[in-house]
Amino acid sequence: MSPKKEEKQTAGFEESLQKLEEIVQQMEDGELSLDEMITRFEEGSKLVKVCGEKLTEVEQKIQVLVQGNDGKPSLKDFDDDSAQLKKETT
Amino acid sequence: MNRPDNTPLDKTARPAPRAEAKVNDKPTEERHFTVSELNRALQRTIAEKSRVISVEAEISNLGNSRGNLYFSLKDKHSEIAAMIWRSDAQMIRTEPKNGMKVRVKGQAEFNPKRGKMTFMVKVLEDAGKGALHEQFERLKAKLQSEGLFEAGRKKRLPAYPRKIGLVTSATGAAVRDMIHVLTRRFPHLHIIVFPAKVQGEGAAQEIVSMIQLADRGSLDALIVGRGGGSLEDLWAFNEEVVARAIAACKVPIISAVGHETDTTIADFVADKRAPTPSAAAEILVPELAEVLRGVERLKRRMSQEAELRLARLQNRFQAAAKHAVLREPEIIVERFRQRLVTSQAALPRVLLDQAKELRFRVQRSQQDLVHATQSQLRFTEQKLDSLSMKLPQALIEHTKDMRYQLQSSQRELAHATETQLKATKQRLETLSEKLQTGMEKQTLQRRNRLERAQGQLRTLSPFKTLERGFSITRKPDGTIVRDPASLKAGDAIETIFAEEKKILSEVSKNQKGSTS
Repeated sequence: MSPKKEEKQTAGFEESLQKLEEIVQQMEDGELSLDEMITRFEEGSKLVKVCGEKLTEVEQKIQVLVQGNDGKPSLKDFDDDSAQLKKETT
Repeated sequence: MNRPDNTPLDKTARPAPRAEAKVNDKPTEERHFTVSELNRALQRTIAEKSRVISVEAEISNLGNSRGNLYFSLKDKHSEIAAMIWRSDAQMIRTEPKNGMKVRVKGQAEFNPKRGKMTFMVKVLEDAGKGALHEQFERLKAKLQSEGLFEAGRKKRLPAYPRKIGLVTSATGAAVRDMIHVLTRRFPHLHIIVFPAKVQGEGAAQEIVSMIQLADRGSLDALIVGRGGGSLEDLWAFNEEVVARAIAACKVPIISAVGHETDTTIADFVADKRAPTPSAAAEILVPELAEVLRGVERLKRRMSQEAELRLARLQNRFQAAAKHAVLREPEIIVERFRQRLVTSQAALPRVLLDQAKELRFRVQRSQQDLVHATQSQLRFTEQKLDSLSMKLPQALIEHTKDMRYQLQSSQRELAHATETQLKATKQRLETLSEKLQTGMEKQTLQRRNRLERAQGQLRTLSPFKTLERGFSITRKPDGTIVRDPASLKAGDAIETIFAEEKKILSEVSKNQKGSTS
């Protein structure tokens, strides 16, 4: 076990957000020329859109790992299970 | 020392044999103690000798009076009365029961009023659990010495996890709590439940294999835990295999075992400890609404900055448009006019040509000026147009307003320029008229002078004399004969009369001093 492990990338949202923050910072520092500012603005606007998309691109899915008949684990919808469980308990 | 004993203990012990020896003696010096004295002495002695100790025993005769617990501590051979004050009882988590093997910590005290020895218990724990505690401490020390709890090896939790694993019981309240909190905060999640037995025989092993399985599932983060329970219920999370599986897992893990007060080995090894499963869910995912608000804030800051820059640009443009050169092109024209005036003072001969040239140049300058002004305005307008195309809806209003202002200032500018040009042209025409008049005057003057000169010339002409009847005599070589002596007989002479009439004659005789 090495103490430093590679951190997983999380769907690029964090990176996009970080870039967006940098752009806003650069614009607010006010050192950009007009053309640069326009370029950054366009870039930033794109990133805002990307961020929005990235946040919602994953569809809600709740699954549970089950042992199949062949002994191999597979995923199945968790809601069915919980509904069943509720019926059993009541 | 030799004085009569005044305490019922210690010092009476030594003289006792003597007293015994003289048992029949009259106990003249013997002192009769009261029970109170005896008990107080016993109390003092016990208090001196007694210290806080730990005792292992079984509980019996458990009773409760106003929250104070009374019971006996016993083993196979002996027993002693014991009690726990209510205030201490509240601090003890283990509930004592008859027949329970316990470890108690406290101090023996003698109650002088009742002459009874009581073991005052401050700390009580289940002896069985006490063994577990030792086990816990041993494992904790061992793993700690291996560096498994070090902050440096803890993995950072992802700020925006999308695929999350839950290693827990699929049937407990904990799993439902976690799913509820997770999806409420952040609906766009993929959650996979890795069902494991979390208590009893084989629980630790199941937890381990589920962590290992989850580690292969390309997850962003993992919550390992269960709801509240007794120390035994939670024990699987204090097992070494579980601790090692958590440490080995490459996916960041939040431990969430029991309630806030429960601390397990798993909590020390995990990358993050949550007090409860619900809390783990809250720690792990942000609220989507909050994240979106954050992005919105950034967007607003960006737009505001762009707007500010554009507004500043607009101000600069307006300031430039108001500049004298643009607003009053006549200043430039005036400069040319000045030169024209200066030139007018120059030689009349070149005056007209130069005036023409200057006039042409002034006209060209005017055209250039108007052209340049218009194209500059057009350029700026185009630039602003392209900016407005690039900036979002929020800025379009602003730009529209600006364009309107631009157009109106352009109109004003055009109008002002036109008026100026008209005025300049008019002035030029006046100027040119003056120039013309000046020229004509000068020409007339010259003609007059000429005529005057001609008149004078005419007056002075010899022919005028001839008209009065005089004549001029010339030699054939044209020299005027002023002295007749210069002529001799036979010389040809020419006589000129008025209106250039001439006759030729010959001198016949020269009479000195007279003219023929």
